Amino acid sequence: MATTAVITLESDITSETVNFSTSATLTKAGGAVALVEASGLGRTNFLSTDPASRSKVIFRAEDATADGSNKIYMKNTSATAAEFFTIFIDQEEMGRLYAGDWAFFPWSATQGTLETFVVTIGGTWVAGETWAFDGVTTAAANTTVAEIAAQVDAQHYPNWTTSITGAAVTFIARHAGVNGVVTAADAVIGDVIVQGGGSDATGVISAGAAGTRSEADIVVLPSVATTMVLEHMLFNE
Amino acid sequence: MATTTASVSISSSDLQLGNRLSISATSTLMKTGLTTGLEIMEMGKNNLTVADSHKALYEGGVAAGDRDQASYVYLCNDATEDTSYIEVGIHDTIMGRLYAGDWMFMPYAQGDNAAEISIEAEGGTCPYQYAIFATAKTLIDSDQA
Repeated sequence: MATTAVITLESDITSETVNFSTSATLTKAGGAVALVEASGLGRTNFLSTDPASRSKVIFRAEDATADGSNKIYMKNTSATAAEFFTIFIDQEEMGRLYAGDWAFFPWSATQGTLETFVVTIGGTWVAGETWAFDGVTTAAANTTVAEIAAQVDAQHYPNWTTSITGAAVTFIARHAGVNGVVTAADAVIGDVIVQGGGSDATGVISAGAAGTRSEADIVVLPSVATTMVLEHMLFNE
Repeated sequence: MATTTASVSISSSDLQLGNRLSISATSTLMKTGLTTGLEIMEMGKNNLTVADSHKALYEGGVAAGDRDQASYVYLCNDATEDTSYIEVGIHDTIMGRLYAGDWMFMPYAQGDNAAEISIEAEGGTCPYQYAIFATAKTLIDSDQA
């Protein structure tokens, strides 16, 4: 498997014409193994007329292996000379990609950490009682805590992934960041138990840990609030 | 008017199953927002050793007029040892690792005078080639009285 990237630069800025070409075979760090993962060539439309919401995260650090031999290709498809995309790595401005310009650069994908916590289904549950989190509500099918935990684990949460050990379900955020959901080792925001009469159903929170933001997300900001289209592709480990 | 063109071709017959990858793009490098070509170019070849630590390949915009302009950086790691790479960053933000034989071409805003292109060799000495294309570059004052 091989992916090659070739650049050709030609210029007559000086009286001696410059013309050279370089080819690279894209490999994983260390060079012996070819890169085998890619995002596919994509296009993102920037349509918003609201300046405050115009920027978009094109690639998140967790999309690639940290410190890998990852590469990013981008192209501004605009035909209006003055229109440009400003490319940021986290908070650092890399540069402006003007109409028709392209870029191809390495990406370390320095990653943050993911918020996490454990909820342990305990106490005495009655069928029909519920535990809700992240907009997803689980209704107990019976009174067995391990089976209720399995129901919690089987749900699909928009912002979290889960795994299960006995009656303990571990939640891990899908994206790194200081999301503010985990407020303490034993507390999160948004978990709600609705008990039936006389029940002592519990969903004790433990092992909570706040996250840290990624410091390498690729953020792109268009120069105008009219339609601009960015072409992009990630080659990653 | 000077004409500088940068072309890229990325191809693979097997990265995407059943879909041969073939990306091709050519850009004529223009002055900021204009249709006239860039006229400032610096290029060269050098060696970067591990002991060199972080070096500035190119300083950020020393004058306000140099900043936030259309500028581009080409850099190629000519090392032959697979484990030798150049860590490329902008000031203290790490951008990525340019492994032996890899090249990069990116826009460079020169956002301020603390936005230098930072390079550091890891794993072994890295011979490199570079080229900078810029809209503006203000010369710094000479020490000559």
